[in-house]
Amino acid sequence: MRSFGILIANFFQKMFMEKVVLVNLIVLPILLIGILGTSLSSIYNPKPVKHVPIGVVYESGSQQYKPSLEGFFADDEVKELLIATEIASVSEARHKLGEGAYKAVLIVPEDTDLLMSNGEDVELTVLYKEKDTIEQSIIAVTLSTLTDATNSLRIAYEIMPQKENGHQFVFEQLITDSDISGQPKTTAMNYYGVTMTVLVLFYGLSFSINNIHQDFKGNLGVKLRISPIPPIITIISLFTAGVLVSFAQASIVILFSKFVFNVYFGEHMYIIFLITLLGSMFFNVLGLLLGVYINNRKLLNLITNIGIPVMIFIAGGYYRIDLGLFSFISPVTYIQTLYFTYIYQNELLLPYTFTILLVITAGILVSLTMLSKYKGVQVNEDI
Amino acid sequence: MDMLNIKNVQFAYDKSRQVLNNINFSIKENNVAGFLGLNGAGKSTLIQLIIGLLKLSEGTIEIASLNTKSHHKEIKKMIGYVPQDLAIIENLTAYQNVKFFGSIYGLKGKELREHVDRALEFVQLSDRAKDKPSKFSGGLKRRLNIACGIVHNPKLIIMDEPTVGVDPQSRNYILESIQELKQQGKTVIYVSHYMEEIEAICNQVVIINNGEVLYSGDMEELKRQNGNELLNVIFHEPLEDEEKRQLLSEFKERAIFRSDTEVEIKVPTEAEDSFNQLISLKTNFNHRIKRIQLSDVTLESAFLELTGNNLASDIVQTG
Repeated sequence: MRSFGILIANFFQKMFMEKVVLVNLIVLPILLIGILGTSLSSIYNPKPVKHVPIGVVYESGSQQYKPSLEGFFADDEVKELLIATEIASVSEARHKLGEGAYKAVLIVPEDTDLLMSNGEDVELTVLYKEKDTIEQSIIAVTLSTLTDATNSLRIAYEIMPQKENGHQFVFEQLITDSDISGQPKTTAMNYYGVTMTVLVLFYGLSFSINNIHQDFKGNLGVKLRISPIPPIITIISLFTAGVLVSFAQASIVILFSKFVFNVYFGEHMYIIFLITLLGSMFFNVLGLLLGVYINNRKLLNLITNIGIPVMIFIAGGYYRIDLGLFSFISPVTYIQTLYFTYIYQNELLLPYTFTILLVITAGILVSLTMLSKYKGVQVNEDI
Repeated sequence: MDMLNIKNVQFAYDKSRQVLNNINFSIKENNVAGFLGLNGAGKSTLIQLIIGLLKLSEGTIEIASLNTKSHHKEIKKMIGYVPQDLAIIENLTAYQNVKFFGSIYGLKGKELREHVDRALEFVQLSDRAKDKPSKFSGGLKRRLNIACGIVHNPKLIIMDEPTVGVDPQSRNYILESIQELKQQGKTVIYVSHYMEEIEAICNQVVIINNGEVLYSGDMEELKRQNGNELLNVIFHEPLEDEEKRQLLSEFKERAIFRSDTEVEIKVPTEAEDSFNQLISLKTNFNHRIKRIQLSDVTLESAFLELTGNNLASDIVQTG
């Protein structure tokens, strides 16, 4: 444990003696958020959300209430926001909801007329396919005027069970104008607040690569490997140090962005910091694997200097582009998706989270196995 | 007592590349032993086996009578390694560097501070303790490299080419400090291409060639085995081939041509034979001879005798 602490302390000591590192990995990303967020906000063209299609099912025994509801949907102001279409049955409604023909389905239950005539409470059900979208908010707010007008009327919101896992993340949703209270206004600043944080995390990859090559395979590594400190402790401490540095830098960027640029990071900051920790570990483990398997320093420099910016671009980090499935080539996409999905849909994607944890675990185990068997000396300029 | 004992060590990186063959030698405690050999002879591999960087597959290595396989933890604390390539941290001060390397060997608190101060004093860097190596000359960096290798007070110190690229002043200082280590009771293994350094500071020499130990023992004994003195003859003009053949037939394997104008002849131990050969030289080449010099047998000539190779030309060829 003491050896672990000595190596971590030494790493941080080296790190903070080099001021250029602090400038590059904290000051620059913050500057980029401000510059890009301010200069590119005008090209984001927020689109207003209106004419949201919803289906309405009037089950038997609700025919008396039907005209009242139809009258509501015929109102000009309501029509501006919602376009209601009658659907014959609940099963058909679910099917069409699944296909995406409607953003939601309103089900008027079969005993509505009876309950209303008895002065009892009536509960309408709204089925959504996608959770916490802007459209959902618009539907909820619009329909709330119904319940405001009728004391005995309540609306229950449910998510229709999905067949596929995960959530289709769509860049277009990010730039939708939302003046609904409580919903985040998506701006260029908000966008770059996240993407520049991910850029800082991604550079953790180069930390690990350098750590392995200088402090394990290189001359310094020779001294460590012949010392009483077990190689596994050395490797774990190098990885941990890289993760801590990445996490600290990204956290500084997040806090600065939040309090100075008012970047929106969702409801709970601890979730953001959890994702940040995952991202730190994820990119550092990728760096660890690259450091283990690649000895050619020129190739590794190429990966750091060119590969990282390219991957950031593919994931839409510098400019909002949606390359579809191609964007998943970039490891940045996975962490960015976690951030954006939580911030704008208030959901932590568990499949992504578990997959990333699996990659981290496997990466550490493979690296530990390979590096603890590493023998010999790597020359400074090899291959 | 033997500080280092190597028995029947064989090593191959793979089946097609046998690097060390049946290595057997020992180094006594408080000796300074020089490792000599051409590039690719197996010196580095042997050093890496001793310090534990490579895994020993055949044979045994004992340090202070402890087997490296079964007592590797204790042995690691006994060894100090000063690598040829600098292993210092440029971002930290000299003091922080030495302190770090002391701490990884288990030193802490007051004991650590004392060891660090002592190590810096030993290499005469106490007044530069707060400076970073990035501001040091090559010689000072080498000294810091040494300090980092000895801070934990090891019994066996292995120095791999510690004077490469340093100024003469630093070089002399390093050689003097090795003598001081010997006086402190340390055992030093000194690897170098510079014969004069090995000759100046080592009392034991190990010559390795093609993965085998050709000689291991006392320096003076090595020289004695290869003759007492050398006659160095320099001619005004290059000799013709016929003249060279004449010289070689006269002195046979004791004559070695350094160049077309210089020949080195080992003087026989019998005084009468020496005298007769001098007369023969004078008679046959009188007016052609520019100068005759008598000198002691050098390590270089002994190395040449043993290996058939010139270490100096190996350095020139390989840089």
